[in-house]
Amino acid sequence: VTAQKRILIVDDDAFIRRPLEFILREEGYLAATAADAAEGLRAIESCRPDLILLDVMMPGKDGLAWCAELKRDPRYASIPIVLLSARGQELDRERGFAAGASDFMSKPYSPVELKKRVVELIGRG
Amino acid sequence: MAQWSLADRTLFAKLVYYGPALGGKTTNLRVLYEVTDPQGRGRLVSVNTADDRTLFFDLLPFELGSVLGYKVALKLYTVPGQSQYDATRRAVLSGADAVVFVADSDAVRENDNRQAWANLAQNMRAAKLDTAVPVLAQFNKRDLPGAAPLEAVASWLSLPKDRGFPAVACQGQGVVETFIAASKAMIHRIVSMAEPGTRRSLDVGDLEAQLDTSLAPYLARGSSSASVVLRPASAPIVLDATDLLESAVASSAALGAQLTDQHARASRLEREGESLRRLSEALRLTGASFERDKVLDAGLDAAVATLGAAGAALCVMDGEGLVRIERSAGVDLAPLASDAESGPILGRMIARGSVTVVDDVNCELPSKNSPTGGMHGLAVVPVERRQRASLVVAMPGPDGAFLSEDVRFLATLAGHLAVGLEKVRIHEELRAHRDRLEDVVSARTRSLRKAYDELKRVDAMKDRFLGNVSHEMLSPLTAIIGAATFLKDYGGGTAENEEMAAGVLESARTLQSLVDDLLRVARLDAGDVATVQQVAPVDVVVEALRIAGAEEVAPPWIDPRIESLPADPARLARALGNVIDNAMKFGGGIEPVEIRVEPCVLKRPGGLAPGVVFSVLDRGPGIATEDVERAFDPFEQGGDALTGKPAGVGLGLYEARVIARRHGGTLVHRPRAGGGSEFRISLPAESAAVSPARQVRRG
Repeated sequence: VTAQKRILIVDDDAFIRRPLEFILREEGYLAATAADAAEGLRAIESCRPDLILLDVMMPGKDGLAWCAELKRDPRYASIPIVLLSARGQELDRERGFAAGASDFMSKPYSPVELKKRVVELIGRG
Repeated sequence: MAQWSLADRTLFAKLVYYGPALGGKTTNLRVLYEVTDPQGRGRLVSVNTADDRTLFFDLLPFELGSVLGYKVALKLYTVPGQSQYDATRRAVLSGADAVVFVADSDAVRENDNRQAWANLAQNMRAAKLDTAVPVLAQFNKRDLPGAAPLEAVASWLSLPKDRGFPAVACQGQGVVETFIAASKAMIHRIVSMAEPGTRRSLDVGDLEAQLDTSLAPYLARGSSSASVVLRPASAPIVLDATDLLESAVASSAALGAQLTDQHARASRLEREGESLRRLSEALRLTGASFERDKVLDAGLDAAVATLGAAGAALCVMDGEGLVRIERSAGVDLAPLASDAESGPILGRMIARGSVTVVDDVNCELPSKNSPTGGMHGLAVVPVERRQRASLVVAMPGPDGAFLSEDVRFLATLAGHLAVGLEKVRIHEELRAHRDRLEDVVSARTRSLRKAYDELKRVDAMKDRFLGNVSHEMLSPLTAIIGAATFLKDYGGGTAENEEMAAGVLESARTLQSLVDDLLRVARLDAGDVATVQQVAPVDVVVEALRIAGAEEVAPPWIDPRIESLPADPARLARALGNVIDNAMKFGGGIEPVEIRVEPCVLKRPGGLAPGVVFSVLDRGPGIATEDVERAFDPFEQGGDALTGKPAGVGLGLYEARVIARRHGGTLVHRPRAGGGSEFRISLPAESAAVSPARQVRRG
């Protein structure tokens, strides 16, 4: 019996965070949410996510910087991160992968497409 | 020996009158001089000895007519008869084409005649004259009471009596007949010596006829010899001479004549050489300069210096026929051009467009205005025919005239000038063209630079638009898609569904507000017309606060003296609202944002004008001076793009400034004393209703 997969959603916009949270739960994952990096770090410690969905543009520490930070930290480096950004330019995409992200999705993304990427990365919930 | 001059198509021939002293040789020539040249144009040169006897004498060329297409010019000589001048006789005889022996019929002079005749034969041999040179005899002085019969005179010369021409030279009888016979004989001989081809083509009868025609007038004049009045030879040179001296003079006279000839030729060549040198110098100077005045100066100076002219000028005739002097050298010719009488004459000479020379211009006109003593000759040589510009040269008075070589010189010089001036014209045209091109290129460059800057500005704006607007629009869109997907595909509990529906609605409103902002600014950019009316400032502030959604502001302070001002109320409230919104986003927090409405004075093009200023003050971090103008650019936003920023697309300050300007006012930022920013919307309010209290205080 495998434990339920855990996913952490970090986005400052609750209107984006909540539908994602509901959909992933319906898909059988355990979903946790955070509004910024500080909250996110506490959530990682408490729920040990298998995957992080991370918004790039956030108040405080931006997603790219935090992503790179996590990847440098041996405790968290193995957690795959999918970056979500409303600035879907090629440059952002490259910077995302450079920061160690496993995937990158431009807003507005289709929840169905996002679900597919999640499955590819950590399997079904 | 006859000389054929191909260049002038002239045949020079030499006829010598020979004979005993005092036999009438000189008389023959004087009669001929009178008959052939009654106006005395040619010059009869006579060199006399002290006892008034002729040494030699030269009748300058006169035209006998034309033979074989050549003008025949004769030089007539006499020899001194006195026996001691034998050397002179030989010298004069040398090269003769025919000889006339003038015998003295006086019976007592038989011996003199015989000796002279023998002397002629001897000297002809000595002068190496061909025996075929015709020798004609004239039996002169037939009127003397002691004249020997013709047969006797002929016999002195061993001639048949019909071989001589009886004459009374002093009365003109027989002179012309002798001359004609001698001329015919001479020309027959010259023709017989011409090249065979020419000779064969000649009809002897025709030649006779030509000669008769040429000589007929002289015969007619000679036969009316009573009318012939002998004049003294001009410029007689009297020699006070002993026989020895005479002999020396005699032999050197011929040489002297030759020398004079050579000297004249040499000085002519020298003059021509000098002309050529000046011409080439003028050509060099006119070629070296690209300035019209310098080219003209070179040409005009050359004309004055080479010809010794009084003055030279380039004259141009305008459309009304007035002559204008463009440039001159030497004496000023302006009086000539401006005078009522000579001006039009000069104008006509220029208008003719060909070389015109007048040798006796009324010289008084220039002289009364010029100190140089007037002018005599005047030459007009066209330079630029299309512009009716001519070279005008005046020779100084009292008798300065143009020789034919001077005219040739001027024609060549005018050619040089024309080429030089044309070169100047083309050069100037090219330069003007180049200047025009440079202007065009720099204007193009400027407009290209402007277009480029504008493109760059627009491009930067597009980038900002994509950066800001995409985020601002895509975030609510993401929320809507996420919530709608959940509602459609999963359908969770009631609470969840309600939350999702509320999210969709809220995000849609955010989008709507964004689209409203964009559309409003787009309409503003398209020049939407404002509706102006008198507005109370308090209404504007209240509406602005509503638009900004501002709650945490200090109570606005409105100067009570301002009752109303002319404005578009909705637009002005929008502008102020945007500024308040901006202040709250970037400068709020520490202290509440303040709003003040006060009278102000505006700088207008015509001076100062009354106005109203809406100030929005904050205690935020302020704006760096170099970033101030950027803050008013569309889609420009403060804050870090990645760490998020207050919502909005960056149109607020831009829109506010456009609205202020549509009202004829301004929106500027200035640092607030004590820290923070102050944004000032200043509007002209000449028709602002200000309370009487204000006016009283002012007065």
